[in-house]
Amino acid sequence: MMKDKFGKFPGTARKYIRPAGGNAILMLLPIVLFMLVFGISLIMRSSSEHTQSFHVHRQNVVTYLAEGALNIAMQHVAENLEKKYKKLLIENSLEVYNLKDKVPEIKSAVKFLIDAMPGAELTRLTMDFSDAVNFDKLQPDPNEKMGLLIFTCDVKYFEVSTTLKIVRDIKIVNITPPAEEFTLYTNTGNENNHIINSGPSIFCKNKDEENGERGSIRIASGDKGNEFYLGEKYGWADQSISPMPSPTRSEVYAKYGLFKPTQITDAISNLPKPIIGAFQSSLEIELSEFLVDPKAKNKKYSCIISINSPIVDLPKEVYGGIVYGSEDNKAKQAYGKGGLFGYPTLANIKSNKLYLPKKLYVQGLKKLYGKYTLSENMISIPVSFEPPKFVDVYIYHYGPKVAEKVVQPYSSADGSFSVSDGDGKIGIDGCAALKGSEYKKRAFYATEEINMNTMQLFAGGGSILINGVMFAKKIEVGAPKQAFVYNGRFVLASDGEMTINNNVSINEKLAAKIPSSLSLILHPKGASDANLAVTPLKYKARKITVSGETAIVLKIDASVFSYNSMEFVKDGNSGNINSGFTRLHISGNFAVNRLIKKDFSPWLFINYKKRVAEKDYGRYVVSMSPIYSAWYEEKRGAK
Amino acid sequence: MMMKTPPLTAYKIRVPLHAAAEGSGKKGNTLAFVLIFLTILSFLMVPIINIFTYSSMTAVKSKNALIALNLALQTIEEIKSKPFDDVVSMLPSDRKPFEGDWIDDASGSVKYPEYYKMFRKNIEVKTDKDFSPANKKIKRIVVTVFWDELNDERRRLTHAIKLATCISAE
Repeated sequence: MMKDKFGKFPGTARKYIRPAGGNAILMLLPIVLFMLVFGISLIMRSSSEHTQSFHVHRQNVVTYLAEGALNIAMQHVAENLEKKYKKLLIENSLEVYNLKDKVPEIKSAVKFLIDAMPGAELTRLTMDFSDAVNFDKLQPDPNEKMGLLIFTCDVKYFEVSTTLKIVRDIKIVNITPPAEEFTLYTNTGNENNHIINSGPSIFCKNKDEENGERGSIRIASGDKGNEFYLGEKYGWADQSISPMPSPTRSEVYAKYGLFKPTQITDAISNLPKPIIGAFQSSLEIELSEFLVDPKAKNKKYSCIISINSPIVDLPKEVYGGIVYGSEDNKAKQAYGKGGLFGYPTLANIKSNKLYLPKKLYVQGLKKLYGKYTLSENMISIPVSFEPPKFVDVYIYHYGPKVAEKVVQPYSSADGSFSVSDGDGKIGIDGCAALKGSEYKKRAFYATEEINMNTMQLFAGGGSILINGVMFAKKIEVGAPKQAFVYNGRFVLASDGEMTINNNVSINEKLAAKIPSSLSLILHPKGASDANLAVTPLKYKARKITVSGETAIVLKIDASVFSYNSMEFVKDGNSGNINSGFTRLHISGNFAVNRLIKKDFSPWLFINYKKRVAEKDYGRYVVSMSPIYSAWYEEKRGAK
Repeated sequence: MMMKTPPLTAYKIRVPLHAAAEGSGKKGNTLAFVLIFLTILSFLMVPIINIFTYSSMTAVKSKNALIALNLALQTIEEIKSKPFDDVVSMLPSDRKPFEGDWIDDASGSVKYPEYYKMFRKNIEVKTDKDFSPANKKIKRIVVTVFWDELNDERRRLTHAIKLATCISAE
């Protein structure tokens, strides 16, 4: 007989018997186990979160350390590109440069980061110049190139490490101003006779007083062959510095400077020192009687009295009379700038003799008069109440030479500039400057429009600090109420339009530390020998009043290139005065492919400055892109 | 053939509690068992509860660490986003709590959550005078965020998260 499920035989008495003991308790065990497992998993989860937060922290630590180290490195390189790395970059000898070990200041600066985060380790900080190519494949200047500067940094913090790379564009460009060996360079193709003293005045002081460099003057009229080549072969010579006559004006002195044809060298060099009398309210300068008798006929001479006036915006030079070897039978005043003081007599003219005024004096320190044998006040120019500190007397000679096709089309002597187009022809438009597209290639910053606000992006130390080329279709230099003050060595180039709104000057405070030069270049698209009438460079002058005298003045401490002359634009600053009364001062050099004097028509003063040094690749600047070209980070060890 | 039936006495009779209460005569045995069970259970529950407590504490710790890290990141990024000259030198003297306006712009202001008051920041900004002494174009930044937490022994401990970097004018 089979037992039933209770272990009994069927038919036997059944009683309720509880199943095996402890089941109810056992039922709780899974709950306990579940709680245990759940609790442990909670622990694991929260622990892992906690661990993760540490990893995230460590990742951030290495990133910030690497970023900080790269910032230090990039700052160092930016500050020392010119001094330390330019040569290496130009000569392609940089290789992989170990900044951490080779540059002590970087090493000490980075040490701070490592000390701030104990456990951190900087294993690598390098830079590398790669992918260098020349701008111009057909006529390359081998020193001009562009490439990538790659900064790499490896940082380790406990088990987490990172490699951070930052790529910056590098351009090495030639910033030599167009026609830099010329104070004034014109290349007008079909314009006729440009006579320096006809129409509005052009005055060129073709010696850079700071370094003694001289710039030639070239006024070319192309096919006609009337080229005037001034001042190229004659130098300045300081003849004397007088003892100071007055204890109250002890800084005043005078000197002779001259362009000297060999015929008059001896005569001038034997001149006695000028005598200066400085009194309470007047200044007298007595020059010696000066007579030259040049052998060569048809030479022209001019005398300039230069007063180093403290008035900033007024010309420092007072122009003397020009006595020239005319056969006219009338005594005449020769034309010059600002007036005359020499008074040639018929006899002197006929005998080709030149006299200088014997005595100049200033009354009330307001007016300067030239006085010769006649008691006539022949010139009158404003000077300040402050006495002048220097009085320079320059005698220069100029005259038409046998027309020389000196440089036509232009290319500078050392070949550092070339004009190239798609065909690879040099100087195709007979122009001293590169085409706009060439500047665009070389620019570290190229855009549609550059104005004062844009340039403030590159401000450093309160002034514009730029190295390299900036290019735009439209450029506004300065603002109507704000001068453009700069430091750095750079070129502002446009192929569209350019307007100079205000004075352009170098921040002198920083200039001692930061070599500074600027070239303003307008080379419009489509400009060529066949198409000269392209947009001229526009400028606005400022109306200023000093000691009751009004003048409209614009000062440009830069070299200027304009394909098609310059054009005066009236605005609120200039008042209702036309360009004929303006004075444009350029401290640098002025190259203009087509000089239209009657349209241009300010008084133009060019004070030659050669700011680009020859040695140590001084013609080249290295510019680093202001923003990262690429940024790459690889982290390791974070789990 | 007769089936052999086992004697009734051979069966161990167990009754449920209610049956005992109804007079089974087997009182106490089961209660003791329950007590033992409860004792065991309570012993088992102690570590389990500890596990939950610990887990909760760890969760709070990681939450605090993440908040502190994000506050440190926010602070250092705020400094980095300023123009270089506007980043002025600061000494690590005061530990300011994160309170007041968190975001305050044209769209309105958002206050720091109340919970964030427990986090305090220390910012140290120093111009690196050794590096390019003339230009002073490097500034060192150290941001530390502090907060207090109870440890396992219910003692208050101060924790900190620190980030350091350098910014340059370049």
